[in-house]
Parts: sequence; C-alpha cells; structure tokens
Amino acid sequence: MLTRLSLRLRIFLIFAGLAAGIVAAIGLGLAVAGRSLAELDALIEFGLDLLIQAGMVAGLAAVALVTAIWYLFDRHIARPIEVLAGGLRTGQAPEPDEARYLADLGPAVRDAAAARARTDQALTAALHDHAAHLTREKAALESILADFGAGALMTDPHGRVMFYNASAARLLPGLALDRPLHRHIAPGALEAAAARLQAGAEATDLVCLTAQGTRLSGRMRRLDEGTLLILHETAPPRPAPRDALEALRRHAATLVPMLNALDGPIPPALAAAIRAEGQGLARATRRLSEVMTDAPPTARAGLNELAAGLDRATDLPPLSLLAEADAIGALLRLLQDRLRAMGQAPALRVAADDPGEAHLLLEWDGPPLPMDRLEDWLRQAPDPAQPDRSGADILAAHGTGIWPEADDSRARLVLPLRRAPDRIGGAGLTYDFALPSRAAASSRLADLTCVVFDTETTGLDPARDRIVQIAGIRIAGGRLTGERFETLVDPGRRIPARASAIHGITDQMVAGAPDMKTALMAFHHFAEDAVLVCHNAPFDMGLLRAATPESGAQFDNRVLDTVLLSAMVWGGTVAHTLDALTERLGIAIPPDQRHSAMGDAIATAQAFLRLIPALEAKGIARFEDTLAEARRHRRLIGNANPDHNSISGASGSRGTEGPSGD
Amino acid sequence: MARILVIEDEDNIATALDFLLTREGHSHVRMASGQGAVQRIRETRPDLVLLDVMLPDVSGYQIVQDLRADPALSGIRVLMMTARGSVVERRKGMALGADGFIAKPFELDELRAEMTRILAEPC
Repeated sequence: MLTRLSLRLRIFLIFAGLAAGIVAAIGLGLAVAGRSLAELDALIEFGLDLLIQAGMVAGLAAVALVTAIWYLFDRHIARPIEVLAGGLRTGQAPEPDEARYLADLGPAVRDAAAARARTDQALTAALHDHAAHLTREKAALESILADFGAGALMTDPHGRVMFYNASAARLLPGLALDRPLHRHIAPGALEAAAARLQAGAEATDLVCLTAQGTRLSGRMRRLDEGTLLILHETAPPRPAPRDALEALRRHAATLVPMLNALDGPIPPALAAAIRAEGQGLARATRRLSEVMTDAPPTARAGLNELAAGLDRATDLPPLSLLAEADAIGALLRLLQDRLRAMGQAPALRVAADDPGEAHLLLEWDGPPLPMDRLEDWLRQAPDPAQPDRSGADILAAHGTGIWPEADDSRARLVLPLRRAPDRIGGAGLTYDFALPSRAAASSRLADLTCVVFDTETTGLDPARDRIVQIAGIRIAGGRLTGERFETLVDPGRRIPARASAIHGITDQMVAGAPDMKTALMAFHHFAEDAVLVCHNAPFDMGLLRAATPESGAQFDNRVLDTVLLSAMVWGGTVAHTLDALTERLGIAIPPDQRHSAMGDAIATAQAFLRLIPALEAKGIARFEDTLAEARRHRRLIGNANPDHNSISGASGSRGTEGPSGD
Repeated sequence: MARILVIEDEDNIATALDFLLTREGHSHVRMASGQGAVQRIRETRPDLVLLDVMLPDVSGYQIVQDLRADPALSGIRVLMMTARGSVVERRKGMALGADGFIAKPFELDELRAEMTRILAEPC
C-alpha cells in the first residue's frame, strides 16, 4: 500500500518514525532510570523534575536533529530523484544544479533526455516529411483522378459506392457514397462482369446502360476489398444513314426516266409525279444532312484555358465549355493576331446569359471586320499541331460559327460555344474508404449515412403550406461528403409576402423551377437509404409526407431531429432553436445564408456532427438509443419517425421562427 | 408584284428561280456574281434581294454586311439562300442582318411563304 505514496512522503514517514522511535527510546530509558532511582530512594535526592527535564531536552534535540537530516535528505535526494524520474519520463532535461548530490545520476539523466530529444526531433521531422510526401501524392492522385476524363468509382464488397470522381458523378446522376451502385446501372452488365472477376479474371471490360439510358463502356478491376470501375460514355455506333440513302436512290431512279419525257408536252399525271419525286428528293437530302451533322464535341475546357495567350482577357467568369482547348484557343489567338496587325486591340469578353450557351466576344473600338476578310482568316490553320485543320473546320467540329457585329463605335466577333454541364462536387473527388470497415447494419450515430436537409416554405402549417426550396447535404462516417442537393420548387401558388420577407424567395424566382413532383422525386433519390436529419423534423417531415400523394415520393427513411438531440444533451430548460443551438456549439451561420435552405442545412449538419460525441458521452451512441431517450422527452419534443418505436402526436409549432420551420 | 434582284451563280437554280418568280408575277433581274452587287442595289433599290451565300468572288455574308453598314441601304430586304443548311449558318446570316434565310433544296411553298412574310414587313 505504501508504494502508492510518493517517494518524498514515504521518506518523510521514515524520518518521522525515526524521530518518534528516538523520543520513545529516550522516554523508555528515563522510565527505567526513574524506577531504579526510586528503588534507591535517590529519586528524592536528584529530583523527578530534573529527570523529566533532561528527557525533554534529549527528546527535542533528537527530533530537531532528525528533522534537519530529513530536510537535507528530502531536498538533495528525494526531491531530485522525483525530478529526474519525471525528466526521464517526459524527456525534459533537469536543471544543471538539480541532483548535484546524486553523483553522476543528474548528468546521466540530462544526457538521456538530450539523446531522446534528438531522436524525437528526427522522428518528428521524418514523420512530417512522410506526411508532406503523402499529401503531395494524394493531391497529385486527386487531380489525376478528378481530371482524367473517364468516370472512376470504387465499390466495397457489398457493391456500395465508396469513391467516385466528378466524371462518374456526371455519367451517373445521383451517385452517392454508401449507395448500391446497381441502382444507377441497368441490371445485367455489372452482375455479369462481377461473375467474370469471380471466375478468376483480374479485370474485365463491360458495356452497360445507365438508369437514364446512356450507354457506357469501361473496365472493372478486382481490388482487395471491392472493385474499381472505370467508365466512359460511348456514343452508340452511328448507323450508316441507310434509310436516307435508300430514299435518295429511289427518288433519283424514278426521276431520271421521267425527265426523259420532258421533251414533249407533259401530261398532268407525269408533272405531279415529277413534283412528288422532287419533293421526296429534297426531304431525303435534308434528312441526310441532319444525320451527317458533326456530333457536338465532348471535350471540356475552362474559359480561362481558351483565353490563355490572349493579351486582353481579364475578369472572365469561371465557365466550363464544350470545346477543344487547343484548337479554339489557337483560333482565338490567330484572330487576335490578325486584328492587331490591322491596328486593333481586341479584348475577350463573355456573354453567358443563356444556360446552354456562352458567347465569346472579341471586342475592339473601331470598325467592324469585313466578313470576307474573316472568311479568309478562317481558311488558315490556326493550330500548328493540326496543320490540316482550318479555322472553319474547327468551328464546324464544334457545331458553331463566328461572325462580326458592331454597335456605335465598338465592333466584335461573336463565337457561340456550348456550355458544359456543371461538375458536381467541386474539386471532383468524393470518397469514404472506411466504408468497408463499418458494418453495413451499424446503427452507431457516427456510422450512419445521413442526409441533413432543410426546406423553405409558403408558411408554417405543414399540412397546408408548400415547399418553395429544399436543400440537403450528405454525411457518411461522421463527416460531410461534399454531396449536395439544392433546388427551388414552384409551389403552384403565390408565396405570401411575409414568407418572402423571411427567406427572400419570390414568385419570380420560382417561376420555371421544378414542380413539387419533380423536385421531391429528385430529393427522394438523393436521400434514398439515408437517415434524414433536420431541425424540427415534425415540420419538415410533415411537409414531405403531406406532399406524398402529389409527388409520389414516399419518405419512409429513419429520421433524426436536432431539436430532440439538443434536448437530450442540454435538457428542456434551454432554447433549442437553430440559432440557439448553433450559438451553443460555436457554429457561425453567415447572415446571408440564414433562412436559405442550404445555409440552414449546413448549419444543422455541423450541429449534428458536434452533437454526436456529446450524445455518446451520455450513453446515446446508437439510433435506437435516441428513440429510447426520446420517450423521456415526449412532452417537450415530437419524434418524426412514423412507425414503431415512435413518439407520436408531435406538434411542429414550438421553437419555430418563420416559414422555414426552425 | 415585287421587283426582285436575284444574286445566284448557279445557272440551273437561277433558271428555276426565273421560272418560279415569273409565274408568281414578280419582275426580277439576275446577277451571276457578287461583284458590283451593292452598287446595283443602290441604283435599282429592289423590293427584295434573293441572295446566295456561296458566291465565287464576294460572299453573300459580305454583301448583307455591306448593305446593313450603309444607312441608305440598310432597309433593303434580303432573303439569303444556302446549300449549307446548318443552324449556325442561319444564325450567322440573321446576325449579319438578313431578313430571312432558307436552305437549299427548298420547296416552292417555302420560298413563297418566306418572300411574302419579308415583303409584308415595313422597310
């Protein structure tokens, strides 16, 4: 038991015992002496008082001596030993005058600490180098995978998506982590390819159709845990325009003998036949030219790539276009150079009002460019790497043209280019490689795949009011995946001014937006299989469920309510509004984002992620735990889970601030 | 009845247009190249110019651009014709100031409708 006491305390106790023993020994000696003297009747002669006095002096002197020795021992031996031990443990070198009475022990500990510091430093530097190296490698791999054109995705052994790049997200709309890949691909191809891998192949080619009917080809490769899939879009093999050619041949074959009859008077029946055949010929020619039109380019280029090498191209918006960067870039540089040779100083500007198309405008102060001169320039090959390809060929391959325009004293060349669909996921990579290590059925809050969402509405009654905006973000494995869903919704009725005043969404903004059915089916797809998380779930879930007859989207997901989770952590005595909750958790919502569906969804997601460890600390680590705990908060909080284990009869009215339900 | 200037280098098409326009009751003159076309239009001020895009010397696009650049001629009505029937050719012609654009081969009804529409527009 004594070993649990500190060294210094034990030494103190030893010295205290020593002092007590000496005092006891003196007392015992005096007692024996007193008894002997009493027998000799000498006690009266020497006096009892004197004996007691001598005993006390001897006792005090002994105690003082022992105390002094203890003090010196403590100061120079016991305490330094503790300091040295601490130094050895932490690697901190003791002060030079520390432990000077412990012979070589002090210097030895200092040497050991210095050696350890050197080792630690070297280890830290090596680790740092290694981490930096890994970060560089990761960034390089990310940029390769993000931009290498093909869609890349990995699935775990259960076929759940655990990695994908932006191209994969574009090829397979709605692709999301922790969702079975087979939902996105028409049945058959994936299973057949997996069977070939199981039969022993390391990798196998496959052709498949997406759920949207796009034809993809690619290669599936076996990994230690799951499979890697590389996919690219393949245009269906263009059939030879047999029908149109056949029609041309038929009309020509009929016309030629009839034309031989034109020498004499033409009977009305023959004239009608010639007219009909001529019209058929014209139709067949048109059909042929439609079929033979160049396919639009699949290459993508940023506007800044196209503008590289132009002298005056600033403040260009970040725009992605369906264009070959080298060919169009070279054409723009050729036009710039020719214009400069004419004494003009063209600047590149872009007009991108149309969501499908952007107009590249090469503008200058001066007279417009004559069309003949422009056509001369377009007969030249602008790209030295493609000497046989004229500017006109490049434009034709992009399905576009270029022409001059002018107003007042300003002239320009107009080049329309198709805009590329926006990439999803920004930087382009989405992954969760920890997915296979988590049990698919785990209900730990930190393991759940969730969609945190928020709605903006026409009012506060979930049974009667309607959604005007909905936004959601996905969480997998306790972190945001970067996957987002956001859309305005046309509520099919006017938005009251008091609602617009809160969320800023007006009738004009929702005109042309998806209707309830389209928007909610898309959101349903985004949220499929995920636990839905929202702030004040009875309100938002009430809206989704009230719209089910109209939208056809059945939201039977499990639901977590951050109002309820907040109450589990802080009890019923504090406010559980989104503002109060985020303030307690130190989460800042930019003021312009508050009361936008996406801004509030992000704030709710951040709050949810920070609530998880607080809930775990209270023993609420699993989804079922939240249901059990919810019963204790039944009077305060409603539960939006509709089925068994639910707390029903909830009202969505408390804690609300406006027509966003929170 | 309108006064029409046909600028078309292909003789066969010119012959067909001659036949069609005569039958429709229009008076018309044909030029086989674009050279001097703007000067001719300035002198004769036709009600409509039927203008081929692909001419051997000056392109039809250049002629319509020149007409629109000249305030005295900018009101002249122009119907462009081309064998290159792509959408972008049409956009280019309309952007340069043509009043209409038809792709060859066109049918009589189509040409008649387009001419009627353009001639009905105020200059």
